[in-house]
Amino acid sequence: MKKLKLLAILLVIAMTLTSAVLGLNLLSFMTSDTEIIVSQRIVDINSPVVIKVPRINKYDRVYLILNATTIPYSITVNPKGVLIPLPLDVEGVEYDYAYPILMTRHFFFIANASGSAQIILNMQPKTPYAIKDVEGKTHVKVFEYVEGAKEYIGIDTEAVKFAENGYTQTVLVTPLNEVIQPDFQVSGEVKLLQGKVSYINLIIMTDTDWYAFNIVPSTVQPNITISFNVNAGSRELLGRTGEFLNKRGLFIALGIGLYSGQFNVSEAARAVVAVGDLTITNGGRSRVIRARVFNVYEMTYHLYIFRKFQPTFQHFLLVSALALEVLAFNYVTIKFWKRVKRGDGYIAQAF
Amino acid sequence: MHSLKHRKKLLFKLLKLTVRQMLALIIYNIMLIIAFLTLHSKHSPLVWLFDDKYVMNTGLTYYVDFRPGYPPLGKLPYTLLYRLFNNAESIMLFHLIVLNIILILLYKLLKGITTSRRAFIITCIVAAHYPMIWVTMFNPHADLLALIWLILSLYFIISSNPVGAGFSCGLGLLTKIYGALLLVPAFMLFKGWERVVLVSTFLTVVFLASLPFIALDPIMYLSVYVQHFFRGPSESIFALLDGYFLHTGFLHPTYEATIYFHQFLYIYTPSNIDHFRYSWSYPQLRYISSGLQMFFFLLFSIMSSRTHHSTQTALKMVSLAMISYFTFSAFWNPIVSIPFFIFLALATLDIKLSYQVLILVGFTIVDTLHIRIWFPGLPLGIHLGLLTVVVARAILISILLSVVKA
Repeated sequence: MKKLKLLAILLVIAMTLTSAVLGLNLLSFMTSDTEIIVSQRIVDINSPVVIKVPRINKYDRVYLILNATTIPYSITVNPKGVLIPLPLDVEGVEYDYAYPILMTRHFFFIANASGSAQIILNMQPKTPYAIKDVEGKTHVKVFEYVEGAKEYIGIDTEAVKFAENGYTQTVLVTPLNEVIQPDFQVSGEVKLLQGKVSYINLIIMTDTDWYAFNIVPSTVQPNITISFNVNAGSRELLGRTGEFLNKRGLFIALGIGLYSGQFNVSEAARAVVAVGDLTITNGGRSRVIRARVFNVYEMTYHLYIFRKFQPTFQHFLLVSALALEVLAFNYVTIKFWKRVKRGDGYIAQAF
Repeated sequence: MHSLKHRKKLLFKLLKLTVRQMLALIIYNIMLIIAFLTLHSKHSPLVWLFDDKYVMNTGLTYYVDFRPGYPPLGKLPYTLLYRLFNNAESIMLFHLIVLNIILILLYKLLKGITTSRRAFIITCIVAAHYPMIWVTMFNPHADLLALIWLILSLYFIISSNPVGAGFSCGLGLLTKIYGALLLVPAFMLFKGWERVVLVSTFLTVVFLASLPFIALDPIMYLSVYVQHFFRGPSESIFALLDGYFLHTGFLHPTYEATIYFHQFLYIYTPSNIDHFRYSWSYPQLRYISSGLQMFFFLLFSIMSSRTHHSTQTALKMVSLAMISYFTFSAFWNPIVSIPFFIFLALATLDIKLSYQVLILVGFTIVDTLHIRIWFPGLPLGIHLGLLTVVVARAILISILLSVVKA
């Protein structure tokens, strides 16, 4: 019994020491496993933006967040294949429209080799709206459109891949971040310049729901200006009226939908839409989102380099030692317990 | 404690059934299969396995390159089914087997401490508990499997078997984290070297089963567990008091699971709409929630150690400890109500059967409503719906406590 007790004590000491060394090694890795680079670039849409990724090890993760509203025309990595992009995927759906990342652009890579790399971006103009796909996949081009004295944001959207239901939906999102009051209203005007849309909806995104109001039907003809006003009395697509009142309104969006059934096989599934100024009134205050497009602008980016733990020989040795110690300790304690209890007919029921 | 009638039965005997019980179980299974075949085209459980789809498409390895939401035993069976069959039927079949084991174990556990009639009625109520049926058919999450280890842990605790209890609690942790909680009341109930055996068996099971992941990337593996302690509230009274009306996971890109949890914290500013990077509007609520959880959990755990010679009272105290943990948790969802419901059934064994049945049916109605508010068609809406179920549940728990006290 004494020998067993001594062995158990020795094993506890060994386990404590091994875990401590293992823990300290991991802690020392964790304290320096993230590198964050925050910088700014002046973007001119006519020349590429180069972002340097310094000192990466194989399997490190590289995360780039662009404070940009439109998706770049193209993104390439130099040298080719050093950074492998991971798919954008939000709970099984291939779009990055989750609320926390709605207003920015994200690129995630896993390093396929050690060294350094460059990410080369060909940027699009900036708009007051973040433009994202929420159904299907589209190719969106942003341009400036002026008619008379009025400025518009031109959106040229072409379906690349329709969702299973046959639709694509591209949203133009702007933050709201206010509790929606009874006087809430959104007004503005849109115009179909070319092609066909299935719908244009005004969407109110709250912390629990989306409320979509149809402002342009599928029957709309090009070059007709449509003015809209959505308020507490408006009926949305699911028949709800004013349900968003007193909820936290997070974003206001314009959703442009294309439907595969509207286009012939030989025809490009495309629509060109002009979006005018948008006026949002809430709680007695109004603000106007001007329809402006910037070809030269300042862009902030965050580059995160997340180091990936690579097991060393010492690490394997420590883990193996700990496994043996834990196993031996368990064996000793069960043996000791059985000896302590022996004779009272109790142990027979244990394993 | 030691006078438990059936403590001589070994584990394999737990699953033995009479012909009548077998028949009842077969009829129950057939009913569930028919319901599943009728409804599964509308609600496929496969949509929940988006992370399996992601790691399969990208060639990443769970727990080494990617941290899923559940420990290995709670996640990998689904991954295996997804890779082998990729259909809803295989998941339903797996769940059905697990559910059968749960019901048999529960019945045997109950039969050891109460009358056969009562054991049968309570098992039937648990079998008819709507969230249990819903999870079995449509929700491939670890909670169902975790119930097996919870019930086994209880069985071993009241059988004074620290090896079995440590083993089950270890497997419980490897399935769903709350499975390890029973270690605390077990520790209180056991004495001397039993406690050492309990803890060492628990550690051995957890460590050995985790060995490949600890060897390859311990930080990623630990992230799987640690992330749960930093999540925001949801669907509880604390969530509603804080103004959070969403569910247990605000949408985030799946690629974020390829970095460690502490690295993940760098990429988001805390916000009161982001469950995974939550900023409390009233931070004191989280401390009140944790404080109440700890206080009552420890109180009932300690009380369980003072219940000499009464298995039923010990079980009641252990169950009340677990009920306290769930009740005061800032985090609730309809799936959590499943283990809660089992502990509720075990905590109310000493009251009049009709009262017990009424309490259980009351909770079933509230839990059913809770699930329904997330689907369109109910006029309540999410705000009013959540408020209704949270208040109704609080009233039922108050009734439960007054009845149990009496």
